[in-house]
Amino acid sequence: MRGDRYLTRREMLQRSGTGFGILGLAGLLHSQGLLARGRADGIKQAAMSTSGRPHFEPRARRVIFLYMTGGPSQIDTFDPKPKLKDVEGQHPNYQTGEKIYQGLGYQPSSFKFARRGESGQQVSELFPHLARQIDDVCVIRSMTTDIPNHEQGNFMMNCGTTLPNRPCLGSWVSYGLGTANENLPGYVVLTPGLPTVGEKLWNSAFLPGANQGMRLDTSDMQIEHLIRNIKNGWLSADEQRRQLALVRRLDRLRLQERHQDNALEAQLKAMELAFLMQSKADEACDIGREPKYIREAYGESDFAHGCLLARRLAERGVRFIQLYYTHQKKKQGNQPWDTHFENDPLLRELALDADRPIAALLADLKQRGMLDDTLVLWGGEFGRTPWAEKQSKNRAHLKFGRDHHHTAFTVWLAGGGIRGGMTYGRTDELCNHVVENKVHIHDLHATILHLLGVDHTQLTYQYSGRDFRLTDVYGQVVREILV
Amino acid sequence: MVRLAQVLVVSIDVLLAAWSVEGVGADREQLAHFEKIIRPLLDQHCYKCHSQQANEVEGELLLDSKAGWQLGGSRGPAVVPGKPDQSLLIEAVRYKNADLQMPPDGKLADNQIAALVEWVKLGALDPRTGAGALRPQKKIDFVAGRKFWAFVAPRRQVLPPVEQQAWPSQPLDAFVLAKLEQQQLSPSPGADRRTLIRRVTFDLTGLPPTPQEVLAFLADARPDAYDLLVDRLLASPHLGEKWARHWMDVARYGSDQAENPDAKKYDEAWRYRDWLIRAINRDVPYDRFVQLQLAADAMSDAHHEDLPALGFVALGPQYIGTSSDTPIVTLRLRAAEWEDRVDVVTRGFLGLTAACARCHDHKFDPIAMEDYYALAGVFANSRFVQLALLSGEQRNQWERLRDKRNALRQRRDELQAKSNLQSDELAKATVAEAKSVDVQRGKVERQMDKIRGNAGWAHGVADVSRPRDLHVFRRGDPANQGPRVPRRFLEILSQQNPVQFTTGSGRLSLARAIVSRENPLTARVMVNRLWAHLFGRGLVDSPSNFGQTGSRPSHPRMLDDLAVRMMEYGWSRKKMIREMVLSATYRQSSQFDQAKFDRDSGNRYLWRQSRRRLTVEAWRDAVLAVSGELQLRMGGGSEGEVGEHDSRQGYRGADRVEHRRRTVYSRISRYRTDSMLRLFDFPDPNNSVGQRVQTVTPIQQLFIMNSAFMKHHATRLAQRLGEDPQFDLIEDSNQQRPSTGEKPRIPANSTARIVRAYELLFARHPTSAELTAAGEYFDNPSADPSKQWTQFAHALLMSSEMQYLD
Repeated sequence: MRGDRYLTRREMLQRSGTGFGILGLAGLLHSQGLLARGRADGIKQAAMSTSGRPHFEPRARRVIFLYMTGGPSQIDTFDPKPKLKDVEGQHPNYQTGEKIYQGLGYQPSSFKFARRGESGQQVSELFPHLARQIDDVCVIRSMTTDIPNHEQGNFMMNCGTTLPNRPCLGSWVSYGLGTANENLPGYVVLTPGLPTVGEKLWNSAFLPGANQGMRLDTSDMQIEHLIRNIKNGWLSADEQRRQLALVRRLDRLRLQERHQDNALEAQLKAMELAFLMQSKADEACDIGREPKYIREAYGESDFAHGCLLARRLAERGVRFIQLYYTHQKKKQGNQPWDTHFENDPLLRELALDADRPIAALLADLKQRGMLDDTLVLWGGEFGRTPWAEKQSKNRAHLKFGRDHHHTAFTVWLAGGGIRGGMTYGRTDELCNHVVENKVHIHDLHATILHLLGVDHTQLTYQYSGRDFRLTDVYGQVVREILV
Repeated sequence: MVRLAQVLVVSIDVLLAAWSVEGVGADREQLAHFEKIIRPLLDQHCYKCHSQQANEVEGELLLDSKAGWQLGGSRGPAVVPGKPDQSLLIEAVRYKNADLQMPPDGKLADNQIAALVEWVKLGALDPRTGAGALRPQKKIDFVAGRKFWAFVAPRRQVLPPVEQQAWPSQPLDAFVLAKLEQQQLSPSPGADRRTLIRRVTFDLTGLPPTPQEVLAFLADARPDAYDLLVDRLLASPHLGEKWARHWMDVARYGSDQAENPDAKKYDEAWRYRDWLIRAINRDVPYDRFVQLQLAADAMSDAHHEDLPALGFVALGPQYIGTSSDTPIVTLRLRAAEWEDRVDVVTRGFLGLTAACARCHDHKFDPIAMEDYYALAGVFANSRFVQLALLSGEQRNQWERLRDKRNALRQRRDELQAKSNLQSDELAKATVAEAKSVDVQRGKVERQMDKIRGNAGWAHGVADVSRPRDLHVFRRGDPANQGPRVPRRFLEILSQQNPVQFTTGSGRLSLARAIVSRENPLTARVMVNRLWAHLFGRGLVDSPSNFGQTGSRPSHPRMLDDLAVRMMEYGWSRKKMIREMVLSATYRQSSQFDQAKFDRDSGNRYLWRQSRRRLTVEAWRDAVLAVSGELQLRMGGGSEGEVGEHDSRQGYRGADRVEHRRRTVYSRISRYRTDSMLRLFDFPDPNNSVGQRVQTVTPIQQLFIMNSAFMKHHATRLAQRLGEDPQFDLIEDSNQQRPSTGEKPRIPANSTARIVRAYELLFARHPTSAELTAAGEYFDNPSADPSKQWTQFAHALLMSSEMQYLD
């Protein structure tokens, strides 16, 4: 399996020619180069492209997006604000256009920061393991988004719009580049339970349905629970082989009568792939095959399993892997990083669970030589306020929490053409606003696509009378953070 | 460089000389400052995006003329002479405001910023003339726009002459044949009867024909047997179930919100679906069908049973905010909802993508921003309501009770007042009377509730009490409002000046404008949709986009003729469907022909019928029908709707075996779109869809191979085949009856079972090659005979013939 990682671009193109994702009906009829402009509603053109051809040489071949659902606090993790101590309890004297201030005044972080690694980037005590990898990480402190509500925030971070009816980033990537492994989908979502908003976050909307993210519920790592219908529970492999041979034979008899029936050919091909997938997906998803020391490095939790599975899938050619930090059963499990109250104890608990597997994932990718062309992304839909939130009466006894903050928050990136060991962008000394090198989510999306070899202005799909793209009419590649 | 610099110096000197004639010394100094520092600075750092020469002017701001910064861009004047701190230009270059930082590619040097500040402080002297606004915005030329084919009213056409005069059986065939002959093509032979009945039954009802129906049709020797078959199908109540679903794609039907399944659920959404099914079965004229969906509440002749039609508008997405949103955020969400309404109305009924004009004039079609806001205003003035579905009698009854209740209330109040004035003794009696009045009132109110409860209610819309026009939102931004736009119809579809909508929100006026006989689009768009569902693609291959970016019609004359005749036939869709399926064009075989294929591989000229994939609904219904599991009960609450839906987990979809009704009765969630349906190209119910995308994926095949759903139905099908092995077979001229004697490997009595399977699933007999294949499959000593029939039945369900129409 190691070979998969070192495919040349040519090999990759050849291998992806039959793309897992979809064998579009019309796509087969006029097999056109991918990344051509697609359109729905017009020519019945099914397909996502099956022969993903980037616009230019990509730096990243695949993406792992670690999504801290709920919006992690930047003030307690990567953007220290010592000045908050001086103004503790004071109310901010400004108002954003989007949110009515409902706070108890500025609230400094309780967590200690230190300069880490050779690059000397600031990391709080919450992430001791990650701190050791910080020289590979580029922290962007100057992120902004449009609306500080979970629904609109999640849609913006995932789909580039605050509305629920546009394709998500992973679907665009899958549509644009296809898959590098015909036995696995191009876009996989790992999440125990569901994040807020749920399946719409990996929705392909008007892009062909095959570009939808395939969701694996990592709260149960057994293959038949992970992927629906991956196992046939009542036929032996032998019986199934015979059965499929019969179907193939009957279909071929029909095919003889109907020359040039591409749709029928596509169907036959898809069935063969499905048969193969049963064993390949099983192998890909079985983290039990990892050596003990690797498993120990990641640790044992739903999130840790997800990180390890993400690496296995990345290794096998899945192009876009999105790992939502969620809990299946816990209260508020759909957005654990939403620390409206008990900010400090919750963050301690969350970081304790997340830090180690994230660090292990980076180290693991690196020692396999995969970090160079795997883009790892960490962040959530927004950040958190530098002030404490006013609590409702029934929560008055709880420790302070932080509200949603959209005018300044942090994400970080590593690998895949990212310049490690740098901090980009600056917020004001109280973290109200960005004061330098603002990066909107559209810019982040443009940058991710750029690293994948895709010009975000050229990846379009015609629907409802116009060309749509992930970044709408916005987006600037953040070149300063590229190698 | 030296030369350039010299030229520049010279020109400055000339300028300075010219200026000095009238200027004073200070001005001269400032002018030098401007020419030497400010102009080159603006040129180098700003003109790329803020000049007449810019490819695309950003923020509507020009900085290559004095008038440019005076007038300013979308944020207002860029410079306030003498006041750097109030000048947006200075704010931008200072890079202090994260939302306004210019130039975007990096902050200017400190001395450059200082120079600009100094310039503004001293009064921003600027000798540059030139327009402050962009080249006057290219006004949409509606006169020229009306020449585009889609905006020219359709007319009845003379049937074109054809050579093969015997071929046409319906008016439309003449148009098809004329084109074919023109292309040196000829039609394919007619399909055989088995193929034909399977095709037309699926196409009209979405269900497979039963073997009995097939046999009856084969045995029907009347010359008009096929016409009679079509008429039977057109009268079938299942027609509405099939065709309502097509419209539900366009109407982006769903019963909840994408963001959160618990917010604003549409528990009564099914009433809209049932209304559609009934309306199609009753062949409600399309013009009325449109009006009812937009304005049933305002139509004097609408029946209470028509109120659910308003679901077309009322089941649209509502976007969720929070209590701490500022008004501008809330307005943005509302604006997004209006966009949904304008989009579904204009694409759905008119084939126009008017929602493109929300942020700027439409880039391709003659639709101005004002047109968009004129329509959006209609929906901005409509609010969501629950409408009680009271019949006339129920309403009378309810109103009588209401009067009674009001009288009792009044009596109660009187008694209350009286008791306050009375002595204790007397008051006691009064209070006792009041109590009995309360009891009576309670009774009456319970009766009222009961009437309402029995009648049910529907999601609807009503006009706000004081309608107001919207302002244009520049660049689609509610924070940046332009002039007010009266509610009115699209200018391009209006004869002269568009008539303003003055009654209520304007929904009824809008609906009337849409179905006006003068409207060139409405009938064309509908007949084209009908055509697309019967032939695999529309005559216009972009059914919801008849604009510049859409396709041109392959048969424009035929499209026009069909459109006009539909209107002349009282907007009857059934009549048009009838003509289409009775046509020789429709009845052609779908067989391959190399020579014709080479001339027209895409079958644009209709030299054969297209082989078509069944929709997921028809395919699932067919699986249930052949396994014997299908329950044909019509209407009522959706499957999976009540009590079976947990907001976070375990949504139970169309693939659970307990759901035995037709797929159209599945609950459609915007939050978790049914995973089985979505797997097979069911559209996202957050968007209006005129044409489904078709995909073939291995994940679909995994479902077909391994799902509990398929296993269940394969098992039932196998049982069904075993129950009645003596199926009554008759000979059919098209198929050789297989001879069992030559196939000894097939288990005794099994051939009849296999034949029955083919009859049930594919409305035909197996060929001898197929029988041989089946025989060899059964000839397996190691196989478990009890499982083999299920496996065989499953194999047939998996075969592509199950998913395709020939």
